[in-house]
Amino acid sequence: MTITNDPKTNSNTQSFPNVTVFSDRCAGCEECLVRCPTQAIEMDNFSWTITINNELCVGCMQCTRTCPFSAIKIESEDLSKTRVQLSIHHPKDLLLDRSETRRGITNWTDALAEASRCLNCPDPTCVRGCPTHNNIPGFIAAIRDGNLDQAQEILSNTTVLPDVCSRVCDQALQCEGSCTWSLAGHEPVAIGALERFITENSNVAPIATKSDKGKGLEVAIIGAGPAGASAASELVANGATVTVFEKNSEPGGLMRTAIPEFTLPQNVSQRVWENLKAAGVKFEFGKEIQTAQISELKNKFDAIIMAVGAQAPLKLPVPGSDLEGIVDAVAFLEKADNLLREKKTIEDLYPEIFKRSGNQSKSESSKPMILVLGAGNTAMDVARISRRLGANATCVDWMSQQFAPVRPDELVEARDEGVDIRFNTTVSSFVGEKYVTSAKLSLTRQEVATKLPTVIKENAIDLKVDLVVMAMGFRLDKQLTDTFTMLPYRKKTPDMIDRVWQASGITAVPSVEWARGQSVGKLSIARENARLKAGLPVADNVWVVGDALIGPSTVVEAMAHGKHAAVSVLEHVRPREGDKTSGKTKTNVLVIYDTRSGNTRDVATNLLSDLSQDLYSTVVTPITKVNYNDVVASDIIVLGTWIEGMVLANVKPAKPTLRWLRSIDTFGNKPVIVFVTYGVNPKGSLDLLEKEFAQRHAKVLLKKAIKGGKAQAQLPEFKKQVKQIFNQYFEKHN
Amino acid sequence: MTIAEDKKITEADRNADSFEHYDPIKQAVHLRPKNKDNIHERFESTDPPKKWEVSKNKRVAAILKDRRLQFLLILPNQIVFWVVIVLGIAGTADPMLNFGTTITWFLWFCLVFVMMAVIGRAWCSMCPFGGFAEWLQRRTFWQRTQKTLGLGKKFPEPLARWGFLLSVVSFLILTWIEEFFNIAGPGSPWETSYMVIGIVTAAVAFFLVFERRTFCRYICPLSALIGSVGAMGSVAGFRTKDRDVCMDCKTKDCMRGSEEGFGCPWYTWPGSADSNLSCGLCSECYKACPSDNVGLFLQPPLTSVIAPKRRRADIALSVLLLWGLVIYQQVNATNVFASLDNWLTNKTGIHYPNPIDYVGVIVIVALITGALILAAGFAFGKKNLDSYKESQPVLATPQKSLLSKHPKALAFLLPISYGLIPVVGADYLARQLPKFFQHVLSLIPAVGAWFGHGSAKSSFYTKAILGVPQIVAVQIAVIGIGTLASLWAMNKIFNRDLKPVSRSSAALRISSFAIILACGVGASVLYFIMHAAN
Ligand SMILES: Cc1cc2nc3c(=O)[nH]c(=O)nc-3n(C[C@H](O)[C@H](O)[C@H](O)COP(=O)(O)O)c2cc1C
Ligand code: SF4
Ligand code: SF4
Ligand code: SF4
Ligand code: SF4
Ligand code: SF4
Repeated sequence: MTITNDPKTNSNTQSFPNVTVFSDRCAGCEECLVRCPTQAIEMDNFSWTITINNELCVGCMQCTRTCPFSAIKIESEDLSKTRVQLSIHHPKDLLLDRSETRRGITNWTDALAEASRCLNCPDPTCVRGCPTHNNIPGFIAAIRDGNLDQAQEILSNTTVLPDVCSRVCDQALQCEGSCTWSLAGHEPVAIGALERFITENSNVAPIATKSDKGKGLEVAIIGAGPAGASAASELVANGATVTVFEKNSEPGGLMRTAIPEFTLPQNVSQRVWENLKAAGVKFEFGKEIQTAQISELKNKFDAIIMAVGAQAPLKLPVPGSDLEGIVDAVAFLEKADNLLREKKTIEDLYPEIFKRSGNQSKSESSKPMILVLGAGNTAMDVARISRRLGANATCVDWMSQQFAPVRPDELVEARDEGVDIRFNTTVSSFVGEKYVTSAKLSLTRQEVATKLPTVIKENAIDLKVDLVVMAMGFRLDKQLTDTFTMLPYRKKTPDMIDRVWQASGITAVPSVEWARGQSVGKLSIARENARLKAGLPVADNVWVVGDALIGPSTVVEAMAHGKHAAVSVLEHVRPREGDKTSGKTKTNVLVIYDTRSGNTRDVATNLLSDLSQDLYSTVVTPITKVNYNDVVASDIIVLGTWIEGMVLANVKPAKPTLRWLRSIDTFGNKPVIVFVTYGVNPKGSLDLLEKEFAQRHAKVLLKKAIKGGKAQAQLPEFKKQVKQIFNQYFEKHN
Repeated sequence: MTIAEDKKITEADRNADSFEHYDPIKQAVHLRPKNKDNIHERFESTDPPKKWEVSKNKRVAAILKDRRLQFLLILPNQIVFWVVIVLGIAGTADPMLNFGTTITWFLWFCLVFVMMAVIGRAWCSMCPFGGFAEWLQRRTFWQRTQKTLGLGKKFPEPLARWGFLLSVVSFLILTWIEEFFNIAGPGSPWETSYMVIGIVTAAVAFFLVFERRTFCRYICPLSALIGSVGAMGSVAGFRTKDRDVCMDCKTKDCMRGSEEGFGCPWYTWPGSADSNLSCGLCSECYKACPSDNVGLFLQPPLTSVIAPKRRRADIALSVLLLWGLVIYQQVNATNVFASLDNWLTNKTGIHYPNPIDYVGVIVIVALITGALILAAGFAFGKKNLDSYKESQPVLATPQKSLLSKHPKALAFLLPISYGLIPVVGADYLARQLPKFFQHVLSLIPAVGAWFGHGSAKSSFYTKAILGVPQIVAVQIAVIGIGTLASLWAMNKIFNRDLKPVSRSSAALRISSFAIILACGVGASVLYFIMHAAN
């Protein structure tokens, strides 16, 4: 199938964009040229500046976002063409309805039209925005070719849950918010709908064997949620033996319990588990593994991936919160979902409560009242399922609507279904004898997102309630945080943004309209930093992923973590018994140096020059260029730095080194060699470095101080010591 | 370490990519390949000799990496300038005894010209105006900060398209003001003081509204002069060590900034710099580059006059206008001019320098010079330049501009104007010499005055280093050297840029030499007349 209305070749609109190159300051770096999706940019090799052909330009402004010297100006109308309209299904009778409310693209014509809006960007920002980095332009191109099997294959490189994610992701803050059209202020490509179109019109392929890298490895995965599913899938595809422990009697985790069927049909959420079973993953249901049991488990398994989620529900500590009839959202949702399936109503859920209250789900006004604390996505789910079970639902949230973390479409759908959602409202106390019967509501005000709301009117409203559901979020289990004290990692965006990401242009727009005014660049980088961290073990051979690593987040992030941890297990863990070299090809040595005048660099670059290339793979990098992925992928790290100070006072390792070290939360127990080159006396610098490493879970095996001017004389001896360590530590090679 | 090992280091650095690991983003990125055609040829004439890299020296390297370097360069000038401001208002009203006026006009102004001709933008690296404003913009004296103060706007394109011509205009305006109030004479010290305050205020305003050094690049009155005359300088500036590394560089930290350094404040990329025109010698790129691929290079004098492939129209026009200005400053000391200006003063009521003859003389001189160049070009150049099109000189201004419609005119105007740079530069320097030789010693009583020892009675107060005839001799010698330098440069420029476009190569060569000679001789004669008029 070929597409005729590709915007790249069909710029037959009358008005071409107005393009200006500030040839005075264009430096000819070609950052724009390599990223322009339409090849509208050419290099003039004589003046060493670029020119833009405005008849090819489609006004996506990728070039202006990417130019380091702001040397391009593009003025253009919206040439992105109209985005496909997706329908929302409104059930006629809400009671006991389980049909999916959000619908996908229903026909090929729409799918092709939407696919043709994609520019196939050379540095696709949508891919950076997607937490698991699906090859979006790749699968969209496959749709354009009419080849959905190829599209499935492309998706399978990065995701095991395309059918789930395309339904539950908040695309506005992820891929779609980061689409080049969205960054340009227009409507992004409907990436989620296209992904869903693929999964609805072709079969998700079974898990295929990729390699035997993991042969002989026995891995335990604790928790059968999205993170566990993707870790299990990656491991089993590479030949490892995988056992999944799940405390419930069914797999799915929050995907099953917390997302109702009208958002995620059961056959979709169960599909991946069938595939995993078919691929030979063993499941142990009804087995809750406590954090304390980990060391015991280590005797039986080579590696352990903890995908246990954030399990402890947040409670509102107000008078009366210990009354009966106040339940937490996950417990409620799990029961409610089953009820719905069995076509029962809310009275069957907590019979003792509803018998007493006498409210019956007959007429609208006499229906039982469920008060939901919170107005996030989970709260919406609780409220909407309550409506389907024949109750009235009121959600209250103390935040202002504009700052609340809820999908706007979810909010609209809930209101359409008759849910009463009140922002700037909080509960100050619950009233009742044994059971809660009413709640006192107070009004709040919140002016900025970063500040907590304040109460402006106490006990303004008295609401009669039959049941209260707390849906205010979760935090990590205390056992987990006590054992691994670095958890949870907070998702952060560093002040200085990675220049490769900056170059893509994703960070250039501070407030993206489609992303409800948020900075998709910052959100994406924060997510990416967390994903990379999932690759580092928290203790010897123990990885933590998903919500358990970063606190409550999303299905897609958990899934991305799971995959990264699994990749890391395959790369670094060898079976406890048997062939130590199986699967593993080379030992990765990461040499990081910080230099001012070059002494340290000289040592760093010559240190490993005679290691065998067959057994070792070495990366030598200045500290300003260290890629976190390389830290994850390394088997041993060599760090060299110079000594800064005033000879007698304040003598320390160079500042950039300390800054970098302190920006890393953990080295996942990797072995480290440190050296310094100094002028006069390194004093306590080596000890300081060792301490900093130890605090970040790294073992320093060798410390060495080398006099700057005499580096060459001391190099052979240092080389010998390093060689010894390598022989000893990676003895499997010899 | 030996040189051989040095080589290995850059190799290793370049290969130091990444381990093979799961990188889903990489799978989806498909950047278009860069256009690297003729890249080595394009830059070979302007790339400084590899062995002329001063940053190879470890001590120099350590100094250049130090974030405090520019602060320490700015600091002394900053102190002097605040002293100038304070003394201008609070100090003695005698300009010859006021430290503010004496140091500004008898020493600083001459030194700036010497630095220009020898180094390039050395002054820019220590400039207290931009320096002060940049401290505010960056909220720091030397640290690498992430959050800047101010709006960070882009300079609007309709203005930016004029490139360095804006700076020439502000230089003309400032010079007019200076002549009008006789600030540099020097006149009342408070006038100097107000002028300095005015410039600092403008700088701060621009630094807080616009990004980077927009002020320096487009507005600063001295920028075009330093940029063009600085082309004579022997410091090439910060340049790439290995262009291939830059072409493959994924981060462009030198442009975007990294943890160690800010992105280039002057909109210059070491990877493509082909003259010292817009390198402010701030060393930020040197600090920022993660591949250690930037070096500080020297170059043979006049390289940036002779060698650039891309000659900028704004620089060519700036040279002509600046030439007009310096000739104006010579002419205005003659009797003929005095009677003209008096007549205009009577007519318009505005005293010296009347804006009409001020602009008039400058524009006429620039036009005549330009016309001579074009006349020679059209007389002896090829009529049909179609074949020349491929290497057509590109403007700083966009394609739509008037000049770019006449590529033929540019084919002659640009190279010959560049050839004039040394003689114009020499004339600027020569014009500052009398003040230096006659009055610089008055700095001694001016400093002494702080300790109660300096007064108008001091013998240094009026003591000149050289007498008038000797000064004229030095001036003419300076012009002579400048003229010779121009001729030498012109010859080289001619061989590369003009020969291919000339019909009668000998005639065009001789005419271009004649134009330079006419300028040199004209300026020398004017020095005679000026002093005769005194
Ligand atoms: C600003 C500065 C401060 C320094 N302070 C000390 C010091 O306090 N003690 C010391 O032993 N060496 C000191 N040194 C010397 C360096 O640590 C030594 O030259 C080192 O080998 C430089 O490594 P590099 O060539 O990789 O930059 C200092 C060097 C610099 C540039
Ligand atoms: S706006 Fe988009 S299509 Fe136009 S030149 Fe820039 S990158 Fe290319
Ligand atoms: S990115 Fe900017 S500076 Fe670089 S070539 Fe493009 S327009 Fe020129
Ligand atoms: S989805 Fe958007 S950002 Fe992604 S490749 Fe297509 S047009 Fe570019
Ligand atoms: S100077 Fe350094 S940072 Fe800049 S382009 Fe070259 S290699 Fe990259
Ligand atoms: S950053 Fe580098 S190229 Fe730019 S002005 Fe400073 S020294 Fe020159």
